[in-house]
Amino acid sequence: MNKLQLTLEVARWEFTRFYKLKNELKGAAYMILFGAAAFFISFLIGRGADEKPELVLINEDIITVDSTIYDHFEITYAQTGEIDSVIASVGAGDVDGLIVVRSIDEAELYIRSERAWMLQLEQLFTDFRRKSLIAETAIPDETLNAILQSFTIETVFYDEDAAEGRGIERTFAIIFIIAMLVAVFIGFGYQFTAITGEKQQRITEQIVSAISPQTWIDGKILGITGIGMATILFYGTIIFIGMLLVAQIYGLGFLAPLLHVNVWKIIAIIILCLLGILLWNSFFAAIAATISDPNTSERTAFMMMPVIPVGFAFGALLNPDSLIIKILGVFPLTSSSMLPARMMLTEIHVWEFFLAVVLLLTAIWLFRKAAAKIFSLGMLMYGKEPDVREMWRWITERS
Amino acid sequence: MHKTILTINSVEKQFAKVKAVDKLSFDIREREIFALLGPNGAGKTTMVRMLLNIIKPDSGTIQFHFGNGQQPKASHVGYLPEERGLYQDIPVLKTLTYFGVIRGLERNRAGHKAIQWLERLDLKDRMHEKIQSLSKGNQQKIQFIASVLHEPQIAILDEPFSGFDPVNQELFSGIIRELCSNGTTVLLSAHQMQLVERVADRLLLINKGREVLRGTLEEIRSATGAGNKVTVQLDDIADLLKLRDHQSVQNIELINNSKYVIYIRPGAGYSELLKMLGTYYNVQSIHSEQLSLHDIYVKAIGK
Repeated sequence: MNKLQLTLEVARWEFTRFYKLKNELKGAAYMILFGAAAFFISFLIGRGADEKPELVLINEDIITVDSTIYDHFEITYAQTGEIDSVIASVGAGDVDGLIVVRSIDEAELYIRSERAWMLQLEQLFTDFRRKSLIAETAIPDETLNAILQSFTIETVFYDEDAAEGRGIERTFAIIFIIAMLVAVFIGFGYQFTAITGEKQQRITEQIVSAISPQTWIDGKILGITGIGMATILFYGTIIFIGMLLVAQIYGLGFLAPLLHVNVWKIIAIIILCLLGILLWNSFFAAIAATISDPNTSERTAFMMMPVIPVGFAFGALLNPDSLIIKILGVFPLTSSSMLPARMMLTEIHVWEFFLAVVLLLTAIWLFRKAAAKIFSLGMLMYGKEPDVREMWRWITERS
Repeated sequence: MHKTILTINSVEKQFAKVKAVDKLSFDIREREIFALLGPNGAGKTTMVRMLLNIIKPDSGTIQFHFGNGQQPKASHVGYLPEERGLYQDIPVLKTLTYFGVIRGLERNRAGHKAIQWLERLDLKDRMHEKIQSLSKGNQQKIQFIASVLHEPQIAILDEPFSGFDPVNQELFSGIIRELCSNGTTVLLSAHQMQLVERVADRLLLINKGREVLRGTLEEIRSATGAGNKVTVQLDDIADLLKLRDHQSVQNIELINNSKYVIYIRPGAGYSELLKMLGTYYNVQSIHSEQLSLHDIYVKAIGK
């Protein structure tokens, strides 16, 4: 067996050790079941919400109440002398509320308990008040409508076809970056279990007497990256099928913009995300190789590191062409999320993509080398974690 | 004589202030059972890890003689480490197949051979169970199978008998002999001297990283001047220590008031001594035997 075959064998072992399709299917079935239950419950809640609250209005002549109120409420009118009997009806639950208008600026609302529609009622009466005040100035309706109308800017893109695809491409970029993060976090958990678990179970010595630490680490990185990818692919497929079904049922045309997507751009984003997953898994392998007990090690805090570049990606929204954003777009620890963000917001040079890929590959190569070095020297250190200086000496010394 | 399969020449290893292995040299011959003995912390496991290239010696050379290459392939070597461990959440057969494959066996063959071994050790009906469901002894058996499944040219077994009950210790000493007769060279380190004495062809006793004794048991007996020992049980309290000056006697050890062990000088006859014992003492029982490896080990390390 050559090194590549051994690496793939270790990758296969790690993948099958942790990835159980049967469990994924069960998980998906539960997810669908809970989703259906949640949908059914919200349907029942929504059905109740369709019923308009019944309100009694007193002193409606003080303020101009127009017909828009009937879109949201069932309104009946009463006289001032009937207040007590209507309040009693509110208390008995026969009506939902009583509004007594005191002036153009205020009213009293009698209810049994707080309701969500109160905010809407307040907005409606704010609108009635404004209209009443404007009506007093005797401005013609046409002028009034013109005053209230908002200013419109219509965006015309240089490349209209590209513009049509940009929205869906942005959605894709966000989906891939989130998927990458999910895969990275899945990988983190398994990487720590796979490496520190073997160390704790005293398996490593037996394994590395048969294969080199480099082959072992490489196999783990590949196998665990495979788990992240398989998980994303599995749930991604389910979500996509679900979206197709919803589109079919409700006749939505959300798939139409796919025709305008720049396929090369999507492929470039996928490549960056894949390399990002490999990079972080290599990084985590190096960290895990230094840890004796993940339950007590402070190094588990490194788990949050992949989130930082994603946070930076939001900075690209402010000025995607600034020098710092361009640098972060090719820097290996940030490029897998920064460059896709830039690609969605602005035009990038082809060399930027290739430079980012080359630097990512170089970083992956260095991380896996460092991980194997740290592992080969640290695997027999039980109970004591090597410090940074020690690790640096291991990494830099010749074997 | 069989050809040399492994040569260790003046190997040294230092950990911080501790010299774990100090200029150790020995060789192992094809198809022999070679025992590496020594007290805890003597440097046995360090030596074994250096043989397997898990750690590197500070100086000296380790040469395997498998055909062309100096370094053995994974398939040449089997290793049962002292630090034992298995994937607890994985079924037995899958674990063994994996270990077989990374040691160079083709997957189907690894599975087939694993089943054969499991059948032999009465574990076939449990091959689809997870390792964690097995007893400690049975997990030891699985670990042993994993180290020899691929029929290595040399099997390095660090404490192969630890964790086994006496019946299984006997079973595995037989298996080790069988491996050897089928062509596998065995390097073992163990503390069960009775078993080692029966199994090993040659021995190396080390202490504080240095060689103390080396050779076959006979050679070691001869080198250490270890003759026979006579255990005497008297009817009542008596002082045998006055026999210490007898020409055949090397030493006399008092076990209790009426029981003594008399160590005979190598090559010395002791019929006259026995006659004296019968004449002057009320001997209840007398037992003569060669010095055991245990005795030699304790004497050598205790020096």
